[in-house]
Amino acid sequence: MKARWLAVVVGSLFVSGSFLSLPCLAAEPIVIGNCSSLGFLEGYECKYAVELAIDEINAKGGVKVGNEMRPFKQVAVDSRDSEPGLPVSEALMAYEKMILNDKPHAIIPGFFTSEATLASMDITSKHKLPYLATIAMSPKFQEKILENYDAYKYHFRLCYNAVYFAKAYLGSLKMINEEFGFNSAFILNEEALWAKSIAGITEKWLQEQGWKVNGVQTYPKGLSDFSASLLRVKNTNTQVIVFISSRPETVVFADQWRSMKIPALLTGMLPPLCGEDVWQVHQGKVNGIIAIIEPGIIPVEAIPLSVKFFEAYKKKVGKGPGSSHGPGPAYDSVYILKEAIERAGTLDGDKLVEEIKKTDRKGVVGRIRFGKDHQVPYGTDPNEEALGVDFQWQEPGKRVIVYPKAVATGKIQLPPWMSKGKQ
Amino acid sequence: MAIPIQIDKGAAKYRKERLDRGIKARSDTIYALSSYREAFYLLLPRAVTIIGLLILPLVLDEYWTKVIVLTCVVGILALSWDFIASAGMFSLGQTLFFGVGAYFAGIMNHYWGLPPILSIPLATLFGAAFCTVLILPVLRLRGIYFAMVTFVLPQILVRIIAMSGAFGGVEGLSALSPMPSFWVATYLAILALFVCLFGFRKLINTDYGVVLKGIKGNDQAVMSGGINIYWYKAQAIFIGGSAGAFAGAFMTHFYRFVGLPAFSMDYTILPIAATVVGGTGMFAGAMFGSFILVPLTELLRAIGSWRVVLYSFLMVIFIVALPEGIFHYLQRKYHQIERWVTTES
Amino acid sequence: MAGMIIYGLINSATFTLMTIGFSLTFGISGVANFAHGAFYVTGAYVAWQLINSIGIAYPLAAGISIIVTGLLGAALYWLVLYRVRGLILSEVIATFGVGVGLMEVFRSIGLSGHSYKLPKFLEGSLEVLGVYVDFQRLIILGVGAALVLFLWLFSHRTKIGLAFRGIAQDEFTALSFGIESDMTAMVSLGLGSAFAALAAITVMPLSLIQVEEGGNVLILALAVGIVGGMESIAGIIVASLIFGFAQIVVATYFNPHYSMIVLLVTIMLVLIIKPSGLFGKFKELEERV
Repeated sequence: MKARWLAVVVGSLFVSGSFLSLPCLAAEPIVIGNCSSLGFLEGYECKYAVELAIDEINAKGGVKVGNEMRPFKQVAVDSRDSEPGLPVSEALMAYEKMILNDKPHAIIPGFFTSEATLASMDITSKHKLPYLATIAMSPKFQEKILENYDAYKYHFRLCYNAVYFAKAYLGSLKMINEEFGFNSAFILNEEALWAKSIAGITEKWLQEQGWKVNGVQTYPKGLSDFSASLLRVKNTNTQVIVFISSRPETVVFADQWRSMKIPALLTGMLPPLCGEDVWQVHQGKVNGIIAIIEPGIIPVEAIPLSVKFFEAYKKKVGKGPGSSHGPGPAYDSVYILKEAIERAGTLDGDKLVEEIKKTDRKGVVGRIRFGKDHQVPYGTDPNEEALGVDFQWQEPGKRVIVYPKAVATGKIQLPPWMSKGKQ
Repeated sequence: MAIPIQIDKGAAKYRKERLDRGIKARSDTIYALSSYREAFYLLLPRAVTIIGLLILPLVLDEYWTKVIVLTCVVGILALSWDFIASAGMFSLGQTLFFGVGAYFAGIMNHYWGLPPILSIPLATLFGAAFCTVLILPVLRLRGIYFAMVTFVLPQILVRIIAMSGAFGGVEGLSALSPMPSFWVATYLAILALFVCLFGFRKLINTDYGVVLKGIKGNDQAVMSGGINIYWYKAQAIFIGGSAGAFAGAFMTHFYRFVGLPAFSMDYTILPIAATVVGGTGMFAGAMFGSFILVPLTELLRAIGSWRVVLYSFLMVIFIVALPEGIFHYLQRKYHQIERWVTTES
Repeated sequence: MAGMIIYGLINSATFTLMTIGFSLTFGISGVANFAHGAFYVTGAYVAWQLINSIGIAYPLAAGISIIVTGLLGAALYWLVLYRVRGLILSEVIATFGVGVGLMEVFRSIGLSGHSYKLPKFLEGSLEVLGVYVDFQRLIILGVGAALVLFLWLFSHRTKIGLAFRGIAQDEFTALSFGIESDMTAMVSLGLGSAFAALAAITVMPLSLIQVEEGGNVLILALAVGIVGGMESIAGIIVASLIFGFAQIVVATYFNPHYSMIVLLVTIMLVLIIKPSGLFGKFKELEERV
């Protein structure tokens, strides 16, 4: 009868689904799981970076696990966790499904958003997977690891987090103060966890250093007109604008800054304006903007591996990476994993974690060592720590590194409509 | 009951005849059963569904049981949409009820420390009341305004929460109390689904429901009967909204997290797509549709965001080509026999 | 102060541009086109593809894109809405489904990242009353004003325009005059979508092409329509002015973050006091014939 047929159909839909989650036979390759927002810049660039590393390692024979050589393999699943309307539960479902279906041995580069990362820590620990994060930036990650070390010890972060980022960035502001005598700032950030914390840290530090902070504003997503904030900058004679956002509004803001001829330096964390091809796309209108990025996305002469990475990436993908952070550490993570596996001689999660902790490597972003909180410290000397560099777009379309001094290749130029040493 | 469709097949003409099976022929609503076989015939669809759903969590692994819970939640949302639609109001914002219920539960749990046992029912009630109050001004207007406002409201609420940083702002509230246990949660969801399904069906068949259906059909006629349609409409929103708010409150404790994604578009689109595919107006259709769509969505996870494209276009195709939905079609097949019969020349 | 006024006007013009297509369609044919936002993104995307993949010159690409989007809108009516005309539920779900589906298609083919940028009409900026305004924004103001003027002339002077107003006023009487309602509805949908594309091409060069912008445009169109009254051009303009200036004022004196609450408060107020909008002509439930 029809109803029975119906019941069979519905029932078989469920049963067949459960078969999909049965474990597949253990495969030869070592699987690296990638569950992040693959449709977004940092997401797909980290994926390419991991592929690049995997290709290089496999070409040399693979990873020595105990007595056999095994290749790496990346399994990438789009968690879409950076999309505005997506419930975190969706991202977590995708994550769990990947773990159950593809049986990864480690997770690189981790989720895109801090929200999803934090929510997923229990799942990662349950499956004892080393988790090497290179995109999400919230310092809460470190707090949670320290709070419950035994449970969360599988988590590591290689890119800078908001705290280190702020420190690196503030160093550049100090330099601006020393060179030009500027001491007034206006902070504008997008409404996101990481941006707000950077804004807060920046404001506090600036005030401690004696700067005048003429405003700290959060702008809503999708805002297409920043004239009010920019006019405020102009009317208060602010000299430095700190803009923190990874969203496309950055472009609108930069554009308006330029066309309204606001006499202030535009600096900050501006991922949409960091790629090599940005000058062309925006037809030179990014001239004068200072942004902070990782080595690897820009070749830093003082760190040879970053140059090598940059060239290799460009060859593979066709153009250099365009995010402000992520691909360099993702590339490094694969090598770190390889070295940890070879030292441990096994793929066991707990043993791997012990070896990863001992990492001391010269990577794309500088020297990589993990602190007690499983975060790589960032600073100003590539021989001691990892590095975040500031560069400025200058004619005829070059990215000139202006900070830190150890790796700088040029000096900051003021925008043409701004006279030197104002106030 | 015989629907003539003339087709020329050579000399003789045929027509399609549709006859009700024995039971239905006697009366549409009251069944006079004359054998156990007939009773079985009637009970089978319901029994299979109920027993099947109760057994499945015991049979499947944890991942797929979570899918079932999600299906139930979507089903509850779909039922709530269907109920409100039965009163003639087409809402494009089930996510409003869901999100408000979710946030109420989260707030009660986070700031006041209420355990799920209290926060879920309270969130259901207050969430529904809150939404009803928000929507009150629109009840006086034509249907399309209702759709517009229910669409816009959740978006604006999202931005207000984001901007004010209240209730966790952009980060949301996390580390909320979990459900007493996984099994309790699963069976609570299933139970709630059944309560909504059979409850709404029963409700719409009572005199109260007749008024609601009347409002859908011709509100001015109902008004001329001296009935205050706004009061009834508000009640319909409250009842439907409670189901939606319950779904939201439930999910908050299931995932121990509430945030802006609680107002996501998914919670509007999925229930409507489910109901459209399953069949509007008949509640069972809404549930049926969600049981097709949600597992399908899971199975198709491999194709990523094309899934949403798939089910939105499915929704459009169904509403245009097969508006009665699958469930109606199946029901018709189940209760009626179709056959070709020669016509008299 | 001058800056506030100028940018307030520009903001309002932006809103008008974005929302007038939706109101036009709704006012004439009674169809609320929930795919309006999707068509907005489509307009920008088609133009971008024409410029970057085929290498057509910008003005031509813009024109083609507007026409193509208009045709898409008409096609939406012809293929989908034609069959469900009159059933509110089906109309709403159909346009809504198409809108969401279309936006997801864009998302799935990877419409994100900063290579998706439309060129501006004119580079550079101009000093107006002591404030620098870039040309593109001035163009928005100009296009917005021109569009409004055009629509006014169109609906009051041309035959087709008058036919539109006739249908909007009373469909049956218009029918008896030989004004076909299906044809009119199709044209109105086409026009509405074309205007959405025009808005996209004018406004999107300010930033990058993003899929979420479609959702925002739709919400804005609904909000402006609710406050101003769906069918009246004057209402749209007034509502745009209110929202545009409110946003700028709030951003100047407080935090740009609060601009959204203005939207909500205005909508709720208007709904309570005059539900059919400030200039709305649709009567309330009771007065419906």
